[in-house]
Amino acid sequence: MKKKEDILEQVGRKTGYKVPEGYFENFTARMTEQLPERELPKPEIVTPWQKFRPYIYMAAMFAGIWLMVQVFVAPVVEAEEAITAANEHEEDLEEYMLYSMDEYTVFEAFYAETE
Amino acid sequence: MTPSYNEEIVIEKLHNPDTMRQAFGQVVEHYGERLYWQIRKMVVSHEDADDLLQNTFLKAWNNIEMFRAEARLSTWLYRIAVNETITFLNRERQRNNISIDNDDSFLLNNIEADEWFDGDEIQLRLQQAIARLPEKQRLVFNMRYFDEMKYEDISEILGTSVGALKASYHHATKKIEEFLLASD
Repeated sequence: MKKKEDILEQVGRKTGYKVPEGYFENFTARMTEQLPERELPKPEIVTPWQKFRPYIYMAAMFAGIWLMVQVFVAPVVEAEEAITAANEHEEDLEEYMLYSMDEYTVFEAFYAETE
Repeated sequence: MTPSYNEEIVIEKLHNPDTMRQAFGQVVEHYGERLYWQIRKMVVSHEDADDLLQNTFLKAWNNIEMFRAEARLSTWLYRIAVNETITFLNRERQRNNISIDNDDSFLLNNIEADEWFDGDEIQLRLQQAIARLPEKQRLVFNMRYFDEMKYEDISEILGTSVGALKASYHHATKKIEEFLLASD
C-alpha cells in the first residue's frame, strides 16, 4: 500500500524533456522579430455630452411621462373626484355645473331660461 | 524570469502604441518558458511546442487590445496556449486517424528516438501514463503536478470549477499510479 502512495514521489517531477541549448535565451529575440507592425485603435475621446447623454435622455423620458400624466390623467381624476363630491352634496351640484361650464355655455343656459 | 518585471507597468505600456512592442518583449521573456513547458507536456515534440508557443504569442500580439487590464495576463496567455494546444491535438488526431475516444499515446511513438528527450525509464513510463489520460485530465495533472499551480488559477484558465478540477486530478493520479504499478 505504501508503495502505491509513494510511486509518484519516487518518479519525481522531472519530465525528461529538454530543449536545444540557448533556446529560451534566444526565443524572445526570435519572437519579437516576427511580430507584425500594428496600430492600436485610437482610444475614443468621450465628450461631456456623450458622457451625460444617457442620463439626460432618461430625465427627458421621465419628464415626458410626468407631463402626460398631468395633461391626460390628472384632470380626469380631478373631474371624477369633483363629481363624486357633487353627488354627495346635491346642493353643490349647481355650483359644480357652473364651475365646469365655460362662459358661453353659462350665458346660453341663462338666455334659454329667460326666454 | 525578468527581475524588473512589473505586470502593472507592462500592461499599461501594452496599451500605448509607442511602448507596446518593447512591453510585449518583456511579456515574452517573462512567460515564454512557463508556457513552453505547458505546451510541450501536452504535445511532446519540441518542434511542435516551439510552433505553438510562437502562435500563442502571435495571437496575443494581434489581439492585445482585447486584453482587459482587470484580468491577469498569465491567465489570458495560458488560455490562448491551451486553445492552441487543443486545436493542434485535434488536428493531429484527425491526421493520424485517431478516434476522439482513444488516448494520445500515439504522440509518444517515437519519443525514445527524440533527441530532445533524455528521460530515464521511469520518466518515460510517467509520460506514457500521462498520455493515456483524457485530454482535460492531462491538462489538469500537468498544471497541478509539475507546475504546482493553485486550483483557483487552473480554474480561471480552464473555466472549470475547483471541485471538478480536484476530482479530475484525483482520477488522473489514480490512473497514473495504477499504470506505473502495473508496469513495475
